[in-house]
Amino acid sequence: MPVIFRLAFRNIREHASKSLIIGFLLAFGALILVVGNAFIDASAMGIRKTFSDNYTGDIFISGVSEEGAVSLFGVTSPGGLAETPLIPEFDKTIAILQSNPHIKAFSPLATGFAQVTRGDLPRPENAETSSSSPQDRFFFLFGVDAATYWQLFDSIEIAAGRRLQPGDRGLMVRESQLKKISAWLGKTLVPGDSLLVQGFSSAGFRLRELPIIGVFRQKEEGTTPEQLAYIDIESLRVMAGLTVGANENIQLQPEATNMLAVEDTDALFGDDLVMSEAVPAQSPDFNTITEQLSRKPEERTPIADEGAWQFIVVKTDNPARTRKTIVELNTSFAREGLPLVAGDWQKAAGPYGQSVDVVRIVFAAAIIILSIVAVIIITNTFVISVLERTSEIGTMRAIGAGKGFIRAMFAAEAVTLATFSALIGAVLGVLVTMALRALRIEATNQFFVILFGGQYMSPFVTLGNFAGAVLIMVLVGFIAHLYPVMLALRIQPVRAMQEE
Amino acid sequence: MNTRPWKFQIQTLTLICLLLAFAMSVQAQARPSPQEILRELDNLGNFSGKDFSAVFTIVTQKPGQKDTVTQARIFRRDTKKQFLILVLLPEVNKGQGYLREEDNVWFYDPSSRKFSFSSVKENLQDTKAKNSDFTASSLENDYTITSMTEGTLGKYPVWILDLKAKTNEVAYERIVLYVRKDRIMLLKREDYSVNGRLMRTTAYPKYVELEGKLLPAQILIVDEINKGEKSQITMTEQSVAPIPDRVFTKAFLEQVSR
Repeated sequence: MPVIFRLAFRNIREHASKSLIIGFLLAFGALILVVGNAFIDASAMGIRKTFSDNYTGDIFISGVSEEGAVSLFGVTSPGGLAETPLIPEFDKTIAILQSNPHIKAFSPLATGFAQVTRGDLPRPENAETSSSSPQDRFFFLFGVDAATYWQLFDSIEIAAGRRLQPGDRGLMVRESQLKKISAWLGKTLVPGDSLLVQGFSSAGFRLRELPIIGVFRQKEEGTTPEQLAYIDIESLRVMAGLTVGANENIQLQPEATNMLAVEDTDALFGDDLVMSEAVPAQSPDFNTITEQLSRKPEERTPIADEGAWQFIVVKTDNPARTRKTIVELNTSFAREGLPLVAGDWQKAAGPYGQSVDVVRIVFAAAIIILSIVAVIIITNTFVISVLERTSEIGTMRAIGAGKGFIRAMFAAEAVTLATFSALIGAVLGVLVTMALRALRIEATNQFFVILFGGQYMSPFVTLGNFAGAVLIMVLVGFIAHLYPVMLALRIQPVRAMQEE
Repeated sequence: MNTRPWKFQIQTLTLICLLLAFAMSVQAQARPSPQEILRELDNLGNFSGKDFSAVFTIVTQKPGQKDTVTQARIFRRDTKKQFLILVLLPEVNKGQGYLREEDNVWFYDPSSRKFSFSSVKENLQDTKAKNSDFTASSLENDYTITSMTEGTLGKYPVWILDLKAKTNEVAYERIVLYVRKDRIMLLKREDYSVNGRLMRTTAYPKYVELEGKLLPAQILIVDEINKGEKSQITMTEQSVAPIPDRVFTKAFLEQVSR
């Protein structure tokens, strides 16, 4: 063993109390890192699995919007309701998906927003009004392709009625939400009953009476918005304004748009205000109005734009390879000139997936703060330990030891102590993690569901986590010793030897 | 010590004071009270005792998006707090309508022939205008005046009225009105949120005169929060001729867009 390490071991033994304090801190740091990362890893994996199993799939494909990021919840734009882009050239996109050998299954999807309304019925006497909030009547609609969707996602249990099937027209509502809607309407709703639903989108409002086909429960609650409801795609398209002719070009008189180009409203008051005497017209001609509003019978009902899909959710044969498959798909889309983006579950979950990140960032920040505090305490203990040995350092330097040797000696001491302590701490961390996993503590609320990555606390330690924790604590030990050694080396050997 | 300069100074000061007092009294006469201005503005917009109808065209511009157009025919009877809005454009929403009776607003969709309740504060379609923009409002009842100053807007000398909401029934906590001096007409309005942020600016640069009442014919609404979002409202076919009672019924909505 090189002399430098023999000296390091001797010094650790000689200054046992200080070494114990530093060792304890380093071990504790390693333990926290191992356990903390075990939670973060479990959370990341659990959340990914829950989201992808429940509704995002492994890969999410959407069009591109200039307004902001596109997720299953639409476009996250500062202006609110931006139009969700459609999948262009749907058949071509499907062909690309079918040609990728790693894609197991996929299903197209479109989403929208709606609200249950009471129509023009008088307010029932027995209806609850105080306890009901508008959110309880709000629907986040998943317009699914019933032929493929349920093969991808087996995340719900049917409490009453049945699942949507191809050709159905209607809704599947969550059991808990249906109870609230029933309370608000003052009557118990069961499958077969109808709900009057008002869809709203950038294309305006649409009112439809839709039958309740099924009532469902999420197998694993807490991962989807409570207002999620499934609807057949045809009805969704009408609700979300994905109808034929929705994008018509309207020709207007110039005076209807002439002010829109004005940047500064004050500039509008440069000219004389135009004032003309309006002709006090006769009563509006109601025949003309009726004529204006008349439609041919075939035009009365908006025709759903067949083939209008907003997203495709994809399951891969090997989730560990998802990243590579995403890159392959994006390359294919670019080659074919399709304005499409493939992303992971987090892109699909959009704002809902970001809350997961927030919890993880907060946890990571807590660990960083803890590390900084550990470095400060360890440095302080090292300073005391090194300053106690000033005369020894002086003597060594007087008999010919160079500054480099002294530095190397202390570095060896710090690294040796840190390695042993970190290893002990990391092993303890593994034991603690195993113990916590064995306890199977259940998540009591949404925050813990995210932190646990599922219904139960199930942290696990990876090799990378273990090695990382040890390395970080060795680095912390090394950094902490630099300052006290620099202090000790500043003192002249003669003076240092005189110190007690 | 020579006292003459002091005397001169005192005389000058007295003169200035007198002149100032005179100027102030002249100004006080020319300056209408802010309440009077508000009352007159309310009066201009209200057709009490008369029905009113017109066609509104609302074009909304959002950056990076195609302009959206909503055209609607509006019937108003302020005495009974009634209005009826019939959507003419876009084609896909043609025949949709809103009927207000007191505080109830119904929305009608002819494609399903169903009605639903909607509230007065709800946005009309996806435009920057609100249903309440088409109903009679009373600035005097809803707001208190915190200040009135003078200024110019473009080439027009204006009174600038700063108003604070009396109730939480109104959409904006504070509004600032720019009122033309030589003839009482609202040229610009700024709406502020509770925390003092400018939410939207509305300009009224074109007016028509209808039976002695001034009515804005073109309105520009600028969304100050979402930059680049604007709506232009253009009003045509204005009329104060009587409207049959049957217009303000749900049956009319159903019949008219068969």
